Amino acid sequence: MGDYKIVTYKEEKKGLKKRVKQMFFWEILQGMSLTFKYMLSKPITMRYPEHKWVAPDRFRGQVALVRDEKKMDQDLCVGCCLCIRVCPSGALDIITSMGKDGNKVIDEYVYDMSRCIYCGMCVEICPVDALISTGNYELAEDDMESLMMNKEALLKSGHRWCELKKIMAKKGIKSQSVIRVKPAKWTLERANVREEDLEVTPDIPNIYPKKPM
Amino acid sequence: MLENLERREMVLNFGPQHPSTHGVLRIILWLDSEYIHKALPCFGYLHRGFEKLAENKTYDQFVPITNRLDYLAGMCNSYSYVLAVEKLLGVTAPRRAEYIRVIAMELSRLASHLVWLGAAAIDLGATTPIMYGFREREGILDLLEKLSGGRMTFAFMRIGGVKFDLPDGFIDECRKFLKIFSEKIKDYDVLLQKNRIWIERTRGIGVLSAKEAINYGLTGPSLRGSGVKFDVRKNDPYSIYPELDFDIPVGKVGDIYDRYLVRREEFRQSVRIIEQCLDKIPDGAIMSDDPRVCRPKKEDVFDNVESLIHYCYIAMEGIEVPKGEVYSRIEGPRGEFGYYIISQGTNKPYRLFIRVPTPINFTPLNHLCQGKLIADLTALIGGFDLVLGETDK
Repeated sequence: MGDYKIVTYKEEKKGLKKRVKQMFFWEILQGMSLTFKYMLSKPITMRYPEHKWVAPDRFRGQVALVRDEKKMDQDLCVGCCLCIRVCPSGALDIITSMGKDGNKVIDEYVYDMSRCIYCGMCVEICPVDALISTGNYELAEDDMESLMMNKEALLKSGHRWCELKKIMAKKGIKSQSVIRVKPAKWTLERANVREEDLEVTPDIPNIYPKKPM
Repeated sequence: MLENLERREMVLNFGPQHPSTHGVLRIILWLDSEYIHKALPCFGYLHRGFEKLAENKTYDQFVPITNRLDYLAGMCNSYSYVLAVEKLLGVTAPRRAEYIRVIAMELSRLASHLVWLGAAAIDLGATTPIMYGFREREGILDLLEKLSGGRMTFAFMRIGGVKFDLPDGFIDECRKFLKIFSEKIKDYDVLLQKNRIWIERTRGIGVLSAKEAINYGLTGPSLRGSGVKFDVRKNDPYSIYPELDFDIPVGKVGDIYDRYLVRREEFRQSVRIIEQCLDKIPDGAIMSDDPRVCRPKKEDVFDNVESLIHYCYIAMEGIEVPKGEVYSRIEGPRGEFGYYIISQGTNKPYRLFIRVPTPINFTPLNHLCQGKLIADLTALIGGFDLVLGETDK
């Protein structure tokens, strides 16, 4: 259905009307008035880093490991190594050994953030949901060493993220909204944010879905 | 005395650091004062070896990498790739998945054209439209972020379906956005459509006749600006496009202003397509139930031995694609975007060729530049809508 539609222009005739318009810069004035109109309306931008954007639930930030919530001493990861097989950039590695009772024990879990392309394949494939994508998008570091994460760091990161999510749920902060963090902390996830630090922002007027709480 | 004042040709590098080359494009110019004698584009500064990369990855693993080709419209790239593999496998995605794909692709097209609008205008000295273009694009990226989890690198398409279903409230939010967006198109008209400077800089510049455009192998809005009625969505329909009602804008003169008008009309047509999709979207599965591409549910993996084997097999070995060759093409925001895959029956492609529109659209540059000013060259680069990510592959 539908068809081709010809869109083109015609050279305008040079009449008196056009001359007058040309003389008074009519089109330029129109453009100026549009800009002036928006100058008087409220800003639509967000004051980062004072205000922060809460990423949606599906957002694929830094990867982290989680533990079983009921048995905190036990890892969820079973060491099946499927995440390593599906990773397109080879950012993950697992070192396993046999434990005392014959079970597989994960000695080390290596995650190279500098190689990771944040595609979320590992999270998708993990059969036990031990890997999660956190909403942490502020990943800049001073050196390459800090971009390598081991099992301990990944578990800590996952734990912090879960805590932060709980705090946000308690405060009623939804995803894709703008929040304020006191004092201005650069990384939400690593900064050990406490409940009293998070503050719902006053209404920032916005025409698009980026509506703050 | 006068013998020393002879005119000599000057060779100049335009780019790769020049701000109006939209990335890392280098053009060698042979100049007579400010008039161009010859222009030779040099590609390759952003070469990442996608085609070779694909030979060492399984079919599944290559999906997130396709987003990095044309980074302004990542959904269209992945769709073309996924379509090629599905053709080889003989798998069709469920109808709901196709609708979600089309919504995502058209949103991507809008986002890409908005960047083009701002970038083309800023090349010609109009710094305002890019602000408005990016404002609307932000709304689109928020929608796509909610849908797929990424703002530019979506990794959303899967062979045989899509990764996620539509999130809660997506349809309402999308409708709300389209309503606002349709009104905001008028803002661009006020700023550009009748702007004297914009008209002077674009009308009559870079004129390509229909015959020339076909001979140079142009596709997309650059071709349609010259008056050729060709759009892959109409001429070689794919997905659910035959069921949708939309027009293809076609220009007449073939200059930059006509190409601008074509893209401007595509805003409205894309909005029409998305609105129809949102109205018609059916319920159902989002992933094909073909056992070659569909993994068992995670809940079944530890209860059922067959599911466990099947799950691990697909994850570890990837999808095995039968022997054969296939070419798939779609209408991207810049033109025909295609993948040619040769499979030898393994889980990795034997050879993968990517047909990207930008460098082919750019071939008439030398022809169009001759005798023109350098200022016209920036207008031309803007008018052809370059993306260096896909040019250099």
